Amino acid sequence: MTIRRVLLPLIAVLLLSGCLLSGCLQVAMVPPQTPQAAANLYTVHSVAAWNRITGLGPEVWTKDGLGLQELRFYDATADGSPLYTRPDGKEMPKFSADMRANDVADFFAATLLASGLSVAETSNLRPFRFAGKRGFRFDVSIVNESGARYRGEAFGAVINKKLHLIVYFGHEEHYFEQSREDVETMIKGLQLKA
Amino acid sequence: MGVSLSTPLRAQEDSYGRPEIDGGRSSGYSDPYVPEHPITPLKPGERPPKGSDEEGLWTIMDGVERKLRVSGRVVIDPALQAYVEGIVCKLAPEHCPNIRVYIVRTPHFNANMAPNGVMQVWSGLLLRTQNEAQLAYVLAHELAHYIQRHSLQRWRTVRDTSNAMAFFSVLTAVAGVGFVGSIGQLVAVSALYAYNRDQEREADAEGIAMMTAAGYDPREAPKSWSGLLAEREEKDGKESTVFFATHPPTKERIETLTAEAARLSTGADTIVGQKALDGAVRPHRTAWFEDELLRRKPEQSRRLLQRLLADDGDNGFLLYMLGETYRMEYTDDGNAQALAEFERALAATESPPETLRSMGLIYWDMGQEDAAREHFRRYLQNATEADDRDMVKSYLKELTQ
Repeated sequence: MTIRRVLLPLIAVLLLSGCLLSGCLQVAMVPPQTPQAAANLYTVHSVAAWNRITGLGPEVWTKDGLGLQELRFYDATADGSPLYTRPDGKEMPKFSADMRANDVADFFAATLLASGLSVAETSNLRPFRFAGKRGFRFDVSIVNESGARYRGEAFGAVINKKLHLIVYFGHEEHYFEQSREDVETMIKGLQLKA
Repeated sequence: MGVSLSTPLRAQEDSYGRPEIDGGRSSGYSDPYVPEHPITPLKPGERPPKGSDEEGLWTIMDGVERKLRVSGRVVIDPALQAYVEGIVCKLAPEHCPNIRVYIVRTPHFNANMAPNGVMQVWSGLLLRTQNEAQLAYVLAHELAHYIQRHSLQRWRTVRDTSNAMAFFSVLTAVAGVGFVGSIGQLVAVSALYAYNRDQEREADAEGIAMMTAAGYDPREAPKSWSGLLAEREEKDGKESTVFFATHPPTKERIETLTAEAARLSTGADTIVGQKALDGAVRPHRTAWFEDELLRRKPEQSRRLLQRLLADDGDNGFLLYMLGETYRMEYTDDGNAQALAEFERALAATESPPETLRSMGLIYWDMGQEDAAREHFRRYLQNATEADDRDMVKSYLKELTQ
């Protein structure tokens, strides 16, 4: 894990978003084996160290850099809200509290496509205990505008009419598998913050 | 990104065995000492003069082509590829060897033709054209822009006059600056295809003449535009599509085309080709309609489906998709409408098992748990290979608790 590899793509993002001058972004190390708060919603334990990046929409954790592997903790999404808002104000698909797991998988794919990805497909939807609640997980396949292929997994539940969603994805050549077990362990031990 | 245009262009063979340009990266600026050449119709196999602004434009579009190839959007289906290429070659046989067709999986009505011979045909167009003749008209229209070198005219206008931002957006799109997604890039590049009214009229006239000469029924030409116009008029259709922005299908154009079709129509045997197009597209239909629904424009999608159902009213797959456009509204009225369409789908042919799953979800939402259970069970009986079976079983478990 190198901070430099994380920071170089970040600088490009920040220059474009105008965030660099306003100082809206924070990068911090997530030490291993220590309970950590994520997105102010969860308590998680990781066996490895990560970098935590906040200020770019969802809280993102990465070991090797943005675009290589990312663990995204989306804020709890209320009825009628998008999963995240884009800086350019482009309209994004809206979550409905009436959605079941099948609908959430479609909603997530629609969100990724609306964000400009070339290909975003979900598959293998199945039940999953998410923070002790009845939830779901599904696989994600993504191709970005440069043709880079990513694999991903999404974990979530609708709790008190809000969508809780955590998505891990990594470059399919190497980075996805590299941290997959760590993420699996982390998500299985996930707890909702009191 | 700036590389001199004096860099020799290296000819390679593309995947179809035709020559491909793999020159240096160009900024698109031409050699100032090479005078602009007059714009005359493109001759078959003609290449732009060395050092000209047109050569710069071709090089930029070669960059777009390289990006397109790795975008993950290009549909690999030799049969469909041969089918679409066959139409192009029927329309413009003399230009056919210099045209590279890409079928692009993107759920919007669009086709375009770059000056270097790259033709993009989007899946949203293939879903929306009802027969081969309509598709042939849209492709002929784009071929007319290509042969008349309209994009070079547009390029010179944009570069030399007021619209510097559009010029810049094309350059940045090709350079891949920032986090512009594929759609964003393609939209930016489409600034090049925003033809003026006279160019559109010329392409309309040449397009309909070209399709008629190739044996297609010209009366199908105006129907391509009228379907697009109908979708545009829906409440959620106000956001301009790429194609609509660059090829506004005005009522005047439709009327002119209709009159021209009547003049050209001989009453002799002409090709409409509904079955041919349907057969070529069918292997992709489910995936492409799923893409269409993921646009989350239910009213536009509904208009499209209703138009297709007018020709094939007993198609369970289309009725299922129509039901889904109502279900995605997550309202009581939407659910009621969706159930009605799903019932029609089950009574028709070709309804997919997902119809039963969607009905189960609605009944569950309505509190009709017995009906929900029954439909989920029927889904599991029918969708033996579905990858969400465990999820649906968990729905049943939750319902029985």
